Amino acid sequence: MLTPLFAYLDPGAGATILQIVLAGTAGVAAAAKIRMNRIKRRLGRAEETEVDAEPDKDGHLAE
Amino acid sequence: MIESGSFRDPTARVFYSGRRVLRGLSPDAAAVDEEARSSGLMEALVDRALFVDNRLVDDVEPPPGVPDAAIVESERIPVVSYPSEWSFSMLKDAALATLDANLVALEHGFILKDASGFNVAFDGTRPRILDVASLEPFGEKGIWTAYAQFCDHFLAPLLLEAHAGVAFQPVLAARTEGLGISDLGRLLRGRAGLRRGVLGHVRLRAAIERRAARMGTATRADVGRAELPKDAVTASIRKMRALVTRLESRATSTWSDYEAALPYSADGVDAKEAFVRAAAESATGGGVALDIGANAGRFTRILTEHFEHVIAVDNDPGAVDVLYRAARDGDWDGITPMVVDIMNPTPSHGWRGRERKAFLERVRPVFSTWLAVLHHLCLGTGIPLDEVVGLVYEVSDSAVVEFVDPGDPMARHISATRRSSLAPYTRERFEECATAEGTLLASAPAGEFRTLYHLTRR
Repeated sequence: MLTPLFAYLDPGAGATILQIVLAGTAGVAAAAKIRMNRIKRRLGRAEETEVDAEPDKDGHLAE
Repeated sequence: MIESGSFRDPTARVFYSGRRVLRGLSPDAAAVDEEARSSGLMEALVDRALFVDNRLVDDVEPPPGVPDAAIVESERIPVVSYPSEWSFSMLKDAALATLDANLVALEHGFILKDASGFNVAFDGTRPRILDVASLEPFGEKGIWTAYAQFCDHFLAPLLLEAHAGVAFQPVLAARTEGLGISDLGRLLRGRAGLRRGVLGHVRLRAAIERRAARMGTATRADVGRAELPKDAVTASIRKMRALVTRLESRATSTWSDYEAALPYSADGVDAKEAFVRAAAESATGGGVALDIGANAGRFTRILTEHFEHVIAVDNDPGAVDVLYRAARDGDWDGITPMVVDIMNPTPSHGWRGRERKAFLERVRPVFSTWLAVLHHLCLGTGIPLDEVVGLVYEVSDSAVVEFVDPGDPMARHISATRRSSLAPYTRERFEECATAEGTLLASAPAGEFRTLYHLTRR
């Protein structure tokens, strides 16, 4: 399967959340995942993902 | 020659070879293109007239710096127009074409990676997506990455005109990235803020954007990875389509108001038609003609008989909308309507001031008509006659110009409130200016106060 590695457009955080909200029940899973990760981080059980956002040697951000 | 405006997508660059329009694709983009063709998607998009016709070619060497894993040639369309040069119905039809292309793409497991208004151009009255390399694989889950861009380029300007009654063209002319949803929110006050589409895509979006700005980096990264099932993305694009379909312009058209207030003189219309026909016939065959001040397109249609394509411009978006709908629904071929004020034609714009080309750079007609325009320019806005004639000769070698005498009822109406004196505006002065740089091939009266001239640059 080909992956969209070269999407040059930033979808934007707000616009993405709105899509999840407007999707109604279809968006519940995605919303729950974001919320759960947030709660886990608050409880200190998940690793901070900031380090993952360091660009690699080619300048690409890790998925 | 590399297209200076095609740097945003590094995987596909546009270049020209003579009159051919070509795209050089990177290995990744070439693989996606291959899949889009083998899955039947590209054919479906071209068959439904959503994409310009295009094919893989191997007889062209791209210029240095252009990716060359595959070369795609696109059909050349007569003129590339920009969103600020479209009427309401044109922007709406371009929005619907963008949404329909996404729906067709999703059926084949793809989506469009962007939704810029500049990706669409009108082939006559048919909006087509020019960027044939804008497809990307979607799979079973994902997000509509281009949603925000679609809002800025299409939904926001349409909502502005539909709910605030403000023409979007000047806004888009100044803002090549589109109208931001937060700015639109400030413009849609009171009841307009409660209209269909505004509550969700503008109000709710603004509230979410404010919260999203305060989110931590880790949560933002989670949002960046969020996915919806394909059916949900398809449903949201269908909902957007239904919303756009129902939008209607509430802007007032200056020309139609004007016409209602003061009946446009039908004097000499037949003589005018005959003169334009004869001049068009004698102009060298083929090429593009430009009708300035086209209004509802009465004379534009005559030009289509003699030229490959006619660009009909008017500064009144309402008049262009009437012409566009008549041409679209009446299947008049060979006309591209555009909202252009010849007093202030679209400048070159965007990145380094040359991402988007000036109107007079994109439109190089062999013949132009300036019917019932001169008195608006000279008496309405005070442009001297030699300047106007200079522009006529700059636009095309051969032209038909109507001189409207200051005694004409419309000319008197335009200048009735003017107190200061203007540069000389007489028929003799016009002829003097026209013959200084060119030759008068023919002239004929059209009614009591109007004279038609066929002139050519020396």
